[in-house]
Amino acid sequence: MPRMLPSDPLPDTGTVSVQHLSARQVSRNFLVDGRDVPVLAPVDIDLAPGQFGALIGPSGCGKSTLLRMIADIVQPTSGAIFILGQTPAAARQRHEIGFVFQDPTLLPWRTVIDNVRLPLEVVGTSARRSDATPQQLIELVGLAGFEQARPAELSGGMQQRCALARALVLAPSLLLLDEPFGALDEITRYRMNLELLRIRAETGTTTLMVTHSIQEAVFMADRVFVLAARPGRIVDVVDVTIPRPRRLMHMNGTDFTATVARVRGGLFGDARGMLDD
Amino acid sequence: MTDANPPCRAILNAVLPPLAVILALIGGIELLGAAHLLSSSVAPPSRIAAEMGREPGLLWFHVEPTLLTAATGFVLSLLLSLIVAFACFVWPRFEAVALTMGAVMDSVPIIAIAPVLAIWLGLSLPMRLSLTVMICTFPILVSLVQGLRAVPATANEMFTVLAARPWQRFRLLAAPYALPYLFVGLKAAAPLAVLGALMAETTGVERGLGAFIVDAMFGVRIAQLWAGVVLACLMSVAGYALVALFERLAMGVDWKAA
Repeated sequence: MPRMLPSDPLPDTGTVSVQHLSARQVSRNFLVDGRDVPVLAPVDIDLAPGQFGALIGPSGCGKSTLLRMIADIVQPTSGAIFILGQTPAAARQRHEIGFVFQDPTLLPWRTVIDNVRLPLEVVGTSARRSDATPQQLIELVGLAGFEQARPAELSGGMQQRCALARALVLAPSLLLLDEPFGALDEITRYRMNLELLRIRAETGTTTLMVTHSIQEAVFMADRVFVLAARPGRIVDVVDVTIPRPRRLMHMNGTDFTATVARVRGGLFGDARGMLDD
Repeated sequence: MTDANPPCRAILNAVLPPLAVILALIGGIELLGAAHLLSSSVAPPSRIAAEMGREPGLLWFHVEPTLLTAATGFVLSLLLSLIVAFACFVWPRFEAVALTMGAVMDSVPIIAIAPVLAIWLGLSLPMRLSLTVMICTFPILVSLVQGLRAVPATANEMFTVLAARPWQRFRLLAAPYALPYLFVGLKAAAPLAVLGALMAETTGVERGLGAFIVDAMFGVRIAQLWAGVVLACLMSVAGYALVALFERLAMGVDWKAA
């Protein structure tokens, strides 16, 4: 099993270091037709090391923006984000962050293995903290035998597996996923979700995933952040107590149903979650 | 084109129809000439061919400098475009400046600026190269700048997450995405390079296809004039074909099935 955690000791940052990821009163405005429109009202987020978080909410609730602020792609208008006690910019420079986009974002002229190798080429092999080679990661995500294939020769699910391997190749301590399987059919999506849970069980990476699906959020996560739109804000934080490893049969349990109902209640503004959808 | 077709069959299918049309045109003009239906200013193909075969040494004497000017000017334009496009890539504010200046340079009528350059730089190689670079840089630059902007937004975000340096972003991401755009510009520029070289040679130089054509015009040597025209056309077509070949090689390796 590849060792995927960073070898550097965690920096001592006092109380903040208890959390792997914390966001404090983070907000973001965007200029729309010359007006400053709040996309995301100040929100707080906490994820402990190894935890799996899910961000769920309607379109336009700012969940993708929040994920991009954590990855230092977008800057917050106000508030502060800490990743292992560092700023997102520092964490990004230290390659603590792996990002999987909704679109696989593979480079079409590169083979599967060269796409997985890309981060090593950018960063330089000296920065490698993982014993897992690109080849091992390709096997881990179930793409063995397709090393020399071009992205256009792969199905959508296989392309996203490749993108996942690429996100893991620098052994990030924080994995951010922006609706990674949203474009896939439901059967493939659950297969990919189970694979992701298996890979995470091996790597122990702290994970935050954006999703549109209530069932998916509850099935995958330890903690679900429920967002509302206009302006985007967190209306509920739901801790999921379903044991791991998660199996599809857990979706039939009362625990699962009750948690789904609570998340749905948050999304539709009905505390009891009894609203029909 | 189906997979069952061997590639040479596909190439034949692409080449044969236009070739047949060209041959039919040549044959038609030849027949008109034989029937004395052509104006005296038009030489029938057989006379042009005879003129070309009469003194191949003299022909090469004039073709060589034109080829050299066009090819060197084309490569210089490509290098200049790469440098300017990289600058636009690193400093986006520079892009508007570069494209505006390029458009101004491109809008100067080449026939008007040629005498100015001839007086300034003399009937020298630098003068001929400057004119060629002036006429064929802009299409290359515009396509390259546009291509460098064709990178998908998420691919740019991925390189941001990787903390890639500008040079890495250019080399590993933007340049490959710009490649198909670049070849569009290069294909437009190849015939322009020949045009620039010919234009520069009409200013009074002794050697060059342009000088050869002007000389034939003043001597009213119709067959020689047409021989020059045909050679210039062949040069432009060859330049275009060479670029297309490079495109196939580059894209065939890197963009297979993309």
